Amino acid sequence: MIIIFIRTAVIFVTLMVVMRLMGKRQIGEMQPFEFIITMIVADLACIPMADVSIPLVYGVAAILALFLLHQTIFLLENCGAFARRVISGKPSVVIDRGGVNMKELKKNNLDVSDLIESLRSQGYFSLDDIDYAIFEANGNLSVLEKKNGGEPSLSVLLIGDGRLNKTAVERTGLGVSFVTDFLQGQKTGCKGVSVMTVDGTGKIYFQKKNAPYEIHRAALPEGVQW
Amino acid sequence: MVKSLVSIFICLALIAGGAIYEHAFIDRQFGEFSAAVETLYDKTREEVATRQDVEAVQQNWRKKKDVLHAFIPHNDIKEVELWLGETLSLVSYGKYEDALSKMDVLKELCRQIPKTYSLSFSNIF
Repeated sequence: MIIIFIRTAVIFVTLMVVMRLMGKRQIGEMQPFEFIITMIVADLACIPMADVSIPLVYGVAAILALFLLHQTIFLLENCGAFARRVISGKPSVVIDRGGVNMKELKKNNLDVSDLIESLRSQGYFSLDDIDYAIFEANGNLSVLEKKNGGEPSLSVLLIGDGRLNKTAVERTGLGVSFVTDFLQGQKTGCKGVSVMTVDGTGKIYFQKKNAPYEIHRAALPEGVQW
Repeated sequence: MVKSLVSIFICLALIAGGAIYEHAFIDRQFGEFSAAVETLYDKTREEVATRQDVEAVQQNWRKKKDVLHAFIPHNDIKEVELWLGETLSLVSYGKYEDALSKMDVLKELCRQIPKTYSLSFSNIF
C-alpha cells in the first residue's frame, strides 16, 4: 500500500512538471493538477475493477493517494501567490497595446498561428480588433476587444515569427511579390517580422521583432478579394 | 481550509494504517506458512512425509489465501498453489527428492513475496 502511494506520488509529480513545461496549449479549462488527476484517475479506477487478479485495495490506495495530493496542492495554492504560480502557472499577456508579445507566446510553446486560431474560435478574425489577449493559467484565452472595431473582415497570417506562410499567400492570390514589396517599403526582410496579417480590405497588421505593431493600408492586387 | 486539513489527515492515517497492517499481515501469514513448509521439508528429507502431511499444509495455506487475496496479486497466490500441488503429487508417489526441489521453490516464494511489498528503492522504481 505504501509503495502504491509513493509510486502514485512520483508519477503525479512527474506529470505535473511535464504538463507545466508543455505550456498552456495542452490544458483545456482546467488547472494542470486537475487535468492530471482527470487523466489518471480513470485508469486507476478501471484497471483493478476489470482485472480480477489485482486486489481492489491497490486501486483504492492509489485513488486515496491522488485525493491526498489534490488536497495538499489545493492548500499550497491558497498559501500564497508564489506557490500558486509554481503549481498552476500564471496568465500570459500575449497581445497588449504594443502588439503580439512573441516572448510570452514562446514561453507557452505557442506560435502566431496558434494564437490566431484561438482568437478565431473566440470570434475575433483580426488581430487589430483586440486590445489585450491573455492566456489564462488553465489554457483559456481571454480577449479584451477594441471599443471602435472597424468593418469586419477575415485577416490572413502572411508572416508568423519570421516565416512566410506560402499557403496563405497562394490561396489569397496576393502573390509573394505583394509581401516582398511591402517588406522592402518597411526596410526589413521576412526574418525581421514577428507578425504580418492582411485582411480583405487591405488593412495590414504589421509587427517587426521587438517593436510595437503598426497598422498599414495597402492596395490589394487587382481581382484579389475575400 | 479546515475541511481540507481534516481530509488530508484522515487520508494519511488511512494510508499509513493500511500500509502498516498490510506489511505486518503479509509477514505473519508467510512466516507461519514458511514454518509449515519447513517442517514438511524436514519430514520429506527424512522420507517420512505422507500425503496427509502435505494436505495439512495445503489446508493451512487455503485458510490464509482467502484474506491474502485482498492484499497481493492473485497470480502470486496461484504460483504457491501450483508448487504445493506438485509437492503433494510427488510425496504421494514417494518421489521425495523431486518433492524437495519443489519445496525449495516454495520456501523461496515465502521469502520473496513479502519482500515485494516492503518499502525499498527497488520496489518503488
